[in-house]
Amino acid sequence: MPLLEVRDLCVKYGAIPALHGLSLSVEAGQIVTLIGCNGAGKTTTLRTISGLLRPSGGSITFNGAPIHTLSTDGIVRLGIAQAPEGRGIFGNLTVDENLSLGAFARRDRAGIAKDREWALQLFPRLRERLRQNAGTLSGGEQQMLAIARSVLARPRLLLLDEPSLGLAPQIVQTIFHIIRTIREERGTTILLVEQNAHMALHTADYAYVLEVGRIAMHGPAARLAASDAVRKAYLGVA
Amino acid sequence: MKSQIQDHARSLRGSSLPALATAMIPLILLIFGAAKLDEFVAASFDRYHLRVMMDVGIAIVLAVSLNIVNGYTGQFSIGHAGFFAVGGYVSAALTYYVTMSVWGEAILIETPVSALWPFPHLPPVGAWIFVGAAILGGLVAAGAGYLVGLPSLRLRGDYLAIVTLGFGEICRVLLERSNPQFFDVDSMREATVADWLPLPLGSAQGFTDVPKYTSLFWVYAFVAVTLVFAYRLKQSATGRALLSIREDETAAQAMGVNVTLYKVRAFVFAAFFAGLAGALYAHQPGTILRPLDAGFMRSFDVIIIVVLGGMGSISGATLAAVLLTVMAEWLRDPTHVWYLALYIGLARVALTPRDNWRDLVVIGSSAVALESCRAAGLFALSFPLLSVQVTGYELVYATLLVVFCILRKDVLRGVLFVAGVVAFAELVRWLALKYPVVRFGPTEIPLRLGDYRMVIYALLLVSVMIFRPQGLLGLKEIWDFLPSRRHAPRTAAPRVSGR
Ligand SMILES: Nc1ncnc2c1ncn2[C@@H]1O[C@H](COP(=O)(O)OP(=O)(O)O)[C@@H](O)[C@H]1O
Ligand SMILES: [Mg+2]
Repeated sequence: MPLLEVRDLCVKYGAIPALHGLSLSVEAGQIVTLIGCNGAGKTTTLRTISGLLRPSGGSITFNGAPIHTLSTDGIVRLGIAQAPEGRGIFGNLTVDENLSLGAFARRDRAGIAKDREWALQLFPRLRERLRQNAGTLSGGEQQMLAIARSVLARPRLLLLDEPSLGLAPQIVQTIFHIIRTIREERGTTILLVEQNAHMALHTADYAYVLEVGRIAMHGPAARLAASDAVRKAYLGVA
Repeated sequence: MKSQIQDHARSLRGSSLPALATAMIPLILLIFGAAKLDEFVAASFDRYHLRVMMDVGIAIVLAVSLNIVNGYTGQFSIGHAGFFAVGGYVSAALTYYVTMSVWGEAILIETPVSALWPFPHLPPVGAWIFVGAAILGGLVAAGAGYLVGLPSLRLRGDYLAIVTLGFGEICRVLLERSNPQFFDVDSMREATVADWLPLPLGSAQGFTDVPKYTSLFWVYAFVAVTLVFAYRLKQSATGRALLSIREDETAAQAMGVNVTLYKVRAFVFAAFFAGLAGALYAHQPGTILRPLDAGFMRSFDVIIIVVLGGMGSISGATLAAVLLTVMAEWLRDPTHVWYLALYIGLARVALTPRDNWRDLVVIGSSAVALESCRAAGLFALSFPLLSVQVTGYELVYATLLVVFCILRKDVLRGVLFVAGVVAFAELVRWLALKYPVVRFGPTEIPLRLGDYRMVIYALLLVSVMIFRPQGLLGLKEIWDFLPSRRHAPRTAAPRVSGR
């Protein structure tokens, strides 16, 4: 049984449909990527999974139980954390306070303290800036904070929305490296939304290609990376 | 490293014994301070000054509590006076009618508690009735806060503001439509249901003759409770959740914060303390509770304090509450304004060639403190040898300036400015005495600045907001400005290069 199963998902903004019958599944322990162009509906998919949007049809099951009727905080408590698009860091709070908020849904103090230490080892830069206001971090550091914060929820499933957006290539490399480390050291299942198909396919085990609200293709990431259609449309290879 | 982890684990959530102690120790110290303040200060001031000092305390409770909604949580409530009035009326009605039905008339009950209880020195029975009534008033206000908080589940920004405004105005109208007050036991006994419903809260005439229990001690004891609560709240997981809602509601949700629940909580906390402030006000000597106490004018007074202090800053709200309450009183007498403007202006020129905000806060607040002493007639030394009357408070102020200048290794300038302060102070005093009237051709205009009190008040506010739109302390606390090892700077570390 997959950890996350999305079936025939329909989402509308008012009367305008954004997703028409999207289905995907995420196996436990895998990194699954969802790639697609601007406006394809990637963010909409993630926001619906995390309960920020309500589907007009279809179902989402997590670990066998339906979650599409739960509130966002209930879903976080079940073990789905996210680093939202645009990072959503709390600019006027310190880096440390941001991290504490990541663990907001948890009650096991000792575990939180350990995970915080682990996250700070992943992102040593954050340790140097613990008492600094998060709004004064650079873009790359803010993205690191967003990921570290979501890791502190100790999720079973981590949703990442375009972690490479607007970052220098070198930082993008670091971020993707850390995404793999999180899966390796924690066994966290990751659903990674990306426009940067090259890096995403290189990092993920399995991939879905989203085109205007529908899954156009899916398969093991390596196979999609080699397929002509993907190479032409998303990897810019003629 | 292990111990570092444990330290952090301990600091995460406060429910353990040490955490309780860290809340109780400052609380006990502050309440002890309030008792001492009452003991030593109350005797040496007249009724007017005592009243102003109590007003300051009540303004602090109101501002710090509103700050929980408007500052921490970022919701714009403009109905805080509604909660204030609910707390005030509920507690006043309780003390008034309970005292009347038990003792026959609504008087101060001075029976010592020691008759019932083996502790001497405790406040008398009546004071405890007052405290009980205040807490009940706070709880009823908190209930109202829950109801007002509910719409904030759906509404944001302007819409929520309108709901809160509506709440305050509804309170005002309901109070106007209340029944007349019963002034003796007999009319209370003979009253019919129609006299009791709507409740006998004095209608538009207001509710009077409430036993006057509010003293400097109770005001500052409640201030202590409010400050400690607000501070602990801000440090707690709940407080962080509120701050995260202010910063980014969606991201807060993504962290697992139940945004609706926490917004309602913010309203409940804020309303409870506003209710306490109302109880203090209702039992203050010289108060007649009126329906207008629930109106938006009073709400705006509190909002102005919160905005001026800096959204979310406890010390900012406290500082602004003191400044604005005292200032509004001072503006009744124009000489205070001259002096204040003079001191702050000179200090700014003398000590802050560049925009050194920390010095300005220190100098500004000491100038205010000294001017309070002068207004209260303290330090009234004089130097009859010089024909100018240099008084003690000016000496203190001058010493302060000198100390600052020496710290900055700029003694000459210090001496010059001290001389300047003394000379200008004399000049202003002389001018104010000599020219109470200005002549424009044939017309004589009396120069009574007191008449333009609110205009000057508004102008001062406008200039502060232009000069410092984020409020006096912004999002910070006053101790964030002090150099310290424990509170390392929160902002503006140098950015990483090569980005
Ligand atoms: N808040 C919104 N209101 C209306 N339409 C929206 C909203 N957010 C997204 N959309 C539309 O839904 C579609 C999918 O958007 P989105 O999920 O953000 O795409 P992606 O993340 O893949 O770039 C787009 O056509 C977009 O215009
Ligand atoms: Mg997107």
